[in-house]
Amino acid sequence: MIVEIGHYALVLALVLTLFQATFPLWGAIRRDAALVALGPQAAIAQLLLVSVSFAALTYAYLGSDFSVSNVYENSHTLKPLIYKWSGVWGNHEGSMLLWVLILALFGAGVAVFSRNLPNDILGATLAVQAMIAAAFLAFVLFASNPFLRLGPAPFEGRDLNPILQDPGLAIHPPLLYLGYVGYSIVFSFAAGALIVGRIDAAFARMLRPWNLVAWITLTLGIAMGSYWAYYELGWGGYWFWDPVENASLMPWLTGTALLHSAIVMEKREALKIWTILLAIITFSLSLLGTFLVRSGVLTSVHAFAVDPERGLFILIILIAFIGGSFTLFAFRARTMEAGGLFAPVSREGALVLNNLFLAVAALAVLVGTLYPLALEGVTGQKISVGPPFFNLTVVPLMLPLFVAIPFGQRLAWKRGDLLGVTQRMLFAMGLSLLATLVVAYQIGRGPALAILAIGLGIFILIASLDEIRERVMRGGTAGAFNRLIGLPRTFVATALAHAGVGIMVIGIAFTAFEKEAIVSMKPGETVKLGEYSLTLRGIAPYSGPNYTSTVAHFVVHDGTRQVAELRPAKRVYIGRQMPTSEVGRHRVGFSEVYVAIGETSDGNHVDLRAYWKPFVTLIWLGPALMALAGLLSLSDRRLRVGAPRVATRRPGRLEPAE
Amino acid sequence: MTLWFGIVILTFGAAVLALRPLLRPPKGKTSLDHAIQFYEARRLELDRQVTAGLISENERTASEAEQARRLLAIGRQNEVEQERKTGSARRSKIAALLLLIGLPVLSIALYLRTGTPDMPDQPIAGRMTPGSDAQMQQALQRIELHLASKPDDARGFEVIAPAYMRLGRYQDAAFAFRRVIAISGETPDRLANLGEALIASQNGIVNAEAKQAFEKAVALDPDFAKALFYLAIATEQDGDVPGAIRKLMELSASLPEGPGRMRVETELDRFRAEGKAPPRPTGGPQSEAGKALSELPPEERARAIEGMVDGLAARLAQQGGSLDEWQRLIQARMVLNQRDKAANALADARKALGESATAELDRLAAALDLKAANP
Repeated sequence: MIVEIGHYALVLALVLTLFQATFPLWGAIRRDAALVALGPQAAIAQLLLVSVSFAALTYAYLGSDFSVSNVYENSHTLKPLIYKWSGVWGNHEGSMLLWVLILALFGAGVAVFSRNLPNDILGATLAVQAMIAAAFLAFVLFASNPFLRLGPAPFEGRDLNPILQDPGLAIHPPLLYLGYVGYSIVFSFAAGALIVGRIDAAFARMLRPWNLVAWITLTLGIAMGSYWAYYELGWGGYWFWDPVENASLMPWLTGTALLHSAIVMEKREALKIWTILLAIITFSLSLLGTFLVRSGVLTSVHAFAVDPERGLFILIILIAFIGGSFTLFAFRARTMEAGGLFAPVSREGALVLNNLFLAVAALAVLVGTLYPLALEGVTGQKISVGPPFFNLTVVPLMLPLFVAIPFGQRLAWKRGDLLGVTQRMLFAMGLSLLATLVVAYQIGRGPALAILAIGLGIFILIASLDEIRERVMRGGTAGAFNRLIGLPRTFVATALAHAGVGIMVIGIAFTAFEKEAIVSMKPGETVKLGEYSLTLRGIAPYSGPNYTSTVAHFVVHDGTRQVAELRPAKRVYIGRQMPTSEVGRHRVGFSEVYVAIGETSDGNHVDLRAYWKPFVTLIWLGPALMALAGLLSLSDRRLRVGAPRVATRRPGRLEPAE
Repeated sequence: MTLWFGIVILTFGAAVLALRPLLRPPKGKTSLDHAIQFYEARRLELDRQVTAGLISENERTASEAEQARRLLAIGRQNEVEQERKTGSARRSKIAALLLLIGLPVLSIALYLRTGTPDMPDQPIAGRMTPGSDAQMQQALQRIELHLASKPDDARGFEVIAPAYMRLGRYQDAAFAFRRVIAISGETPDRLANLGEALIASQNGIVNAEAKQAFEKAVALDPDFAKALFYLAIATEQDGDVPGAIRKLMELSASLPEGPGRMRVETELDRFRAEGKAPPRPTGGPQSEAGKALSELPPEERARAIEGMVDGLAARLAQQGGSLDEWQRLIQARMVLNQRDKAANALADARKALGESATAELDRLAAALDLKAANP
């Protein structure tokens, strides 16, 4: 009964979105407050209905109701409780239901938190959001229905993909989806503004919190996915340029560009057309990501749905929304007036530079991801575009952008003074140089480029944070405390987020100094990893709740004493007879000793990969700090006004004001 | 009934929630209200920044001038787009009517197409009736938990393995038999059990590991019939049909009369039907049992045949069997005019053989005009 109620609630939600997609739009065009008000109410009702549906599926999973086909396919009575939970979204159908739930959550969020928007924009935005919801609800019901039943019901389920049986799974897809889906609301706002035909600073202000929420969650989702791949896949890497990872990186790059260009739009009414375009592109890339992951076009760990019918369905959704929004954009683009003007060297100019680099990087990733698919489609030839391509395209694009961060952060609005900015940064530059020299001395020998990259990271970190000191100390120590208190949180957030970039760069640069050992060992043997040594004590079988495993027992020495015991394992899940790797890790500060075992032979030889990874955790702490800074910025509900720098001294370089 | 009650509540609730603003129209904000408020707030923010010493008075003045220009522009735009308030009540009525009719009609129509309204929930806990598979499952779970903490308990694996076989979890059974061998060592029996589980999990294919197990079993006990039998099957699967027939014939000759020999003869019959194997050594009834049977008076013979069929049914239910055997059982039931029992046997066969045999069984059922009894 509960399962069927969940099914019905989903159907009802679909029908309701059809009304939500039309009436508020009608109201927005007719300026009818009553019709528009139907939008927020319907959005809230939609959230309630989809929640009922999701709860019903969860109920079926927790109770191991194998009369539900989806539960039978993806669960097992022996599965630990947490994986019965996460199993709800650990499969194609369930994850699409989660997608729709998050979509409804964002729609209801706008309904609750943005009630004071002008009627026309609110109506149009919620209508567009409802159209997206309707498309995906239809997809769930007609192509991926998790509520299909089995009769007679089997008595045992077929387990969950063991690689996905990990605590990381419980958090990673929901966060990534929050980001993906979060950009749907940004898109809806952009489309709504296009429909209404009013695109201004006030609009950028409305967009800001949603843009931030989507960006924060996507950032965390990607970082967590990378961390999960690092400790679960047992290859020791943190980023593989896997098409699925690229699919999440592309919207992140354009979303980050959007985050910056929206600031210009809000503060200075410039870059309006570009910002709208970015909003459309970012959501399009999110849809593309969903398509790539869900259609099974790609063959990788993540693409667990292989069904061309579904792929076609998402492709149609993709084309309809991208095509529709670009048509709308083309229709309205002429009526949009360009906003405030600015000199090339200015905060605006720096942000344009940022956008340019991020957009080109996104394009490079897009080409690298889609080219092999297109080639395979046309010629049938299968190639893979691997890390070398991306390292040669994305990395050179990112480096100048990284160098520019601390400069851009300090440039004044409208017209800036690059020389002055450089002078203000002398202290930070000196400090970073000193720190880099100390690090280089400590490392001793190593690739010069990697040391330079570490220096760059340190420079971004120090120079970004140093701006806080600069601002506070401007005008002497007197009143410094008041100025510190008075600093807008968005300002501090900028400094912190950029410092996060620096931290991540340091972490990535240090991967050049990792020590690696790929060997076959017998109990009693020892392998050296830099200052650490790893001794294999023994190998033993072990049985878990629904898996059996081979566990190796290692002891880690740091030259003087034993510092840790590690037990990496190779697991075979009974349900599907598939092996997975459990990595053994020992953390020293930000660094790690990392061991993954492979095959055992003759019962006493074990193949293993062992690494000493200096400062590796910084790779994820950086993005975590970026996301935290995003939260800080989100908490700042104040309006942002970019006061233009008044031109007085150098009349020769003046640009027309408006 | 409760389902439809829930459906009505959900539909009604959603309609009321969505339509509430139509009953009591809210004020709502026009774009001009919003713009004025927005730019006023920005002016205050500039004031605050001046007070905090973040920007200079000059900068504030310049910025305020910009704000004022923009507000004027929006005001002009707003005059052009006169607010059209007329006809609001009529539109509300149309919307309410459409939604009140459309929402329930479309939803229920769609649900009846995609849903299964007459199917109750079947959480596993609710299916634990005494003597059922589910109860066995529960017992299994207890043993499994025990084994998870004591993976070296051979006795536990020995108990659990046949249970897995019975439930059709052949891979788990193979795993358990393997553990038994790993812990307590190899015996012909254990090796053969492992081999059987592996064959079952491969839908009857004797794979390398299974073959190896049987070979080891024969090495330990050269007369071990079960292992010899499967090795013969493996020979056939390797493409050596004459070799397989030879092995089966030898085995059959060496075995005393009984179920083991019958099993071997069944396989031989298969070849005989194709004309590959020589006919049974003696004409007429093939075995002593058969001879004895033919000498009985008709009534007793019928009873004896029935008894043999029942015996076959019991064995299949207990130990499982091949598709051939199941088909034979179903056909025998039909010949004996036991239609109900035939239907039951068909259902059991479906359960026991799983998906792989569905097509074959469907064909048989169609030929006999038989429908599986509801399990």
